[in-house]
Amino acid sequence: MNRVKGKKIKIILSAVITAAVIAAGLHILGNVLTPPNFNMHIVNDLKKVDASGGKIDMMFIGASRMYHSFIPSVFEEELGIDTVFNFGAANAAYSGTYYQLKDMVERYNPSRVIIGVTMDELTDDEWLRGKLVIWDRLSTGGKLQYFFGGLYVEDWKYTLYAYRFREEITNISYNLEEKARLEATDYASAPTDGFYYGGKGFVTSDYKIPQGHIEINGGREFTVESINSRAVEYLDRCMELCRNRGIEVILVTPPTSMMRIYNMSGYQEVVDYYTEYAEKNGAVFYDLNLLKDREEFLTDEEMVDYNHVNSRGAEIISDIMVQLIKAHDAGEDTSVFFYPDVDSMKADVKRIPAVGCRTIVWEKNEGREGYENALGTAYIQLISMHNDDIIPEYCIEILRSGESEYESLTGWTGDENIILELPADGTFTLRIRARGGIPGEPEAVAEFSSDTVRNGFDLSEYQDLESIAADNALC
Amino acid sequence: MSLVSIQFLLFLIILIIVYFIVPKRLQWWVLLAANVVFYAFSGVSYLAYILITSAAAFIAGMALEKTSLQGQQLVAEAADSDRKKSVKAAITSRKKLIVAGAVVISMGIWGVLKYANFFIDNINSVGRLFGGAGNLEPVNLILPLGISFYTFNAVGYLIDIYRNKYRCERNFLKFFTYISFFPHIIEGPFSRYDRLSSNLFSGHRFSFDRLRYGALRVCWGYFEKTIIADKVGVTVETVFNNFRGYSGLNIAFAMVMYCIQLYADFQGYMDIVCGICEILGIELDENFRQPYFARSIDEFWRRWHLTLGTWFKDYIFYPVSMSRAGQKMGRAARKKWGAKMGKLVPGYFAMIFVWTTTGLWHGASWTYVIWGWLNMIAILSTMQFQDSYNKAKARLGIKTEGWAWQGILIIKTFCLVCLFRFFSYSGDLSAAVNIIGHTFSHFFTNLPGNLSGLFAGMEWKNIIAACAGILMLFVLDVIKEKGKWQEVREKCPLIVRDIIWIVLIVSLILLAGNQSDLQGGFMYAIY
Repeated sequence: MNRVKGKKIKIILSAVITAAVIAAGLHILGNVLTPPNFNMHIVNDLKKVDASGGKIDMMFIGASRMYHSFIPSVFEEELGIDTVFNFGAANAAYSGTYYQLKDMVERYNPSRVIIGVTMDELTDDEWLRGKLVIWDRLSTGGKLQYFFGGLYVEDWKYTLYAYRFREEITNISYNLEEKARLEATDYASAPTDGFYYGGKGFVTSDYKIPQGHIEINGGREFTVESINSRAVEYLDRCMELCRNRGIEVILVTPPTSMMRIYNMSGYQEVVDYYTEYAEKNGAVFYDLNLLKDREEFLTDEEMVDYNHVNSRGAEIISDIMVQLIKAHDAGEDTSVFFYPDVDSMKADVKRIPAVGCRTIVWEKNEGREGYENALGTAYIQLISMHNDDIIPEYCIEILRSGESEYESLTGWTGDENIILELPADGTFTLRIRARGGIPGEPEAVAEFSSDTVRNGFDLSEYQDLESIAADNALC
Repeated sequence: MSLVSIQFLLFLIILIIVYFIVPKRLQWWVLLAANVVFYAFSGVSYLAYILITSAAAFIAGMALEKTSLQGQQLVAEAADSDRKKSVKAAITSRKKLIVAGAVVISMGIWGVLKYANFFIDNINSVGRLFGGAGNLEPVNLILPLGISFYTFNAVGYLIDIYRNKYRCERNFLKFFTYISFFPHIIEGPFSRYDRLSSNLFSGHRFSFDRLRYGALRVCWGYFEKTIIADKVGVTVETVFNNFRGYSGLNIAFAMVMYCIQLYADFQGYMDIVCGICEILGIELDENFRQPYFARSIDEFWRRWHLTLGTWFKDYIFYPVSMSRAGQKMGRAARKKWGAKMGKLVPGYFAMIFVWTTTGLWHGASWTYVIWGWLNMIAILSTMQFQDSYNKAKARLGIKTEGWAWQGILIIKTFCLVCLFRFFSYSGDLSAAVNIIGHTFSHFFTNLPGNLSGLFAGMEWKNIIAACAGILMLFVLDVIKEKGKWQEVREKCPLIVRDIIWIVLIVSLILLAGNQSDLQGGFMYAIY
């Protein structure tokens, strides 16, 4: 009996030691494999906040447009606040925002919270990346709540760093070097893919897009049916959390490019939704895309990509937001800063914000003599964003391989369906220019590589090639 | 619910805890609930199919036993032998009707769902051959989870009751627990009712030893599936999706990898479910016996998917070979070709049925039938020419027990298995022929630059992981083949077992699946 008992104890002890070895091993592997990321800067900054009393007076929270748009130091200086922090997280959904808000509110007791609200967060399913970015910032207690309350079961395995970053096994030495450098320099920022950490959660880039050169992207259609009920549930929980703690809430839609406003159908409905939502919850709502005269100060040159402002854009928006907060605190009417609706804002847009094209069909012509002169036929549909009173004209140009100047293929035309003969092999760049509206307004320009142009739709969708050009249903 | 998912692991942990908390007499209720929950994850509506099949088999089983008992009574009361004979004939005929009815329902559901489009394609082809339009539309039918497995289990049960092998089950919920038992419903094994029920419905005490061994087996199963099968599957898919871009050597290597993938995937699944059952104290039949160590195709099928083989043997081969038609053929063959052929011909006759149905069971396409027939031809050839073969070996002085000859036989059998699998992999006859043709005609064309080139599409770390896994699997199979597995399992030092745990867990976390998600499916689950 004693021998059996002794054997059992030995086995149990062995199991416990094995489990401990596995846990320790995975923990070490996780630390080694985790690549340097902006969250490390944020965690480092939070340690400093903890060291200096653990209070954040005002926080921004939401998705990536938040952390690109608002510079905490500007608010600290202009509003005379001790500590402002930007907790925007890439691809954050309202569920993640809620758990992050809860954790940060409990730790730092802010008096004001500015929550980013957009069409994307209202309608999208949750992105895994957004959940994990938030997970990495939470305290242990916050992690526990998020694990059981906010994450799906299939997300759980990604909380194990050794699993999440196992592909980094080939980058171990670079990751370790970079993390050592960060530690040694107190997390001095260095550009990563053109982006750099600007302090207290703010991340930005100095890259700018020439006016009119913004790519058409981020299109979506809003309807009431597309509202994600889980998203609304968590936004409600954010509001309730702040209400119960006596925290003032400002709802804000951070700026995006003019192209994107045109490319999101139902945008006014979203504005109306959030306006009503804010009123119902006793909060203030600002849509910074409807700022008056935004065409003058928030151009494509203030954008780093189709959806986020760059460092210059963040300075402008932060300054404006300061003014809004001051006016709000003084009891002034802040509606004077804004257009009354989206149509009014668009009425001041006298240009074509963006142009693009898509290849409906690409057909490589057979039987042409000389392989290097082989041509293909592209049936191309031109797309542009503009107001109804603007009649666009397009010009398509090609930069052939080995050439230094663009050659016009079409001249200026009003046709939106174009048939072009293009090289079937080798590389080229196709440039689409669009003009319209007031003379002197900048053109919209888009460039497409030969690979993009040669990717056409499945021919089997159509009876014959000729019907494609005549098919207006494609627009 | 995929076996390779966090949800399933959670489900398992909860099941094990609840199973051992409840009183032993209620443990089968826990299994029943677990089976329903597991099955419902695949679609609540599909529960209807398994319920109908179970109900048909259950009711028929009860009717069969009642008929048998009535028959025994009537026979006992019969006045004379003629009367006894006619009563027996009537009872047999009635029992056959009952079995036929239930089999038609169960197999009918399975047949329609699995083979409707196969028949429609064939009708269309025949129609076009005779100048018709041949445009019957295919039907959009989804196969319920495990239908091939539970249908065959139900039919096997019915035939056993018909043969008076054991008493029927009188509790429908217990019978449904057996039919829907989640460990064996996705990919088998085919479990005989008398063997499984004896330990399914008896209570089990928690055993720390069973937990240890079972959990380790489950872990090893996941390793086989996610590290070996899924990894080499990348090469298989890469090469076969674009076989014309590869040398015959690459294609042959990819087919070898496919054979390993199939084995590791299937054996991995078996290890997972057998490990789960070991924890619960339930014994499931093993389905593999180191199949790639077989020295003939016949022996291969006595090592691969054992329970399917015995099912076909017990319920198709023996009934057909011992049927009136089979016996008649045997007598005719004996008259014409002698005693030996008289014994073999009924078996040959039965094999046509067995291998045609084996092929069709694996896939609703003529390619699978051809694959089945190729296996059949290989087995029949061995049977037919066994004597000549033995004489030739003796004349050449081949030491048949020596390791060299055994090795040649194993390699020869493996090569044949690989060759036949071109058909089962392609799923299309012309594609299979094209691939085989390209393999031989371009064997040395466009050879890879180095060894890693054979593992087309795989990253170097996955190549290393898969190769290490294959080596571990091979070593394990060698130990089992030598009959030393039980000894190794019991005498393995604790520290070695702990190291194995560490290696398995860390490997699974670092190497299993791909970055975005684990591959959830098991290959045999499509059957």
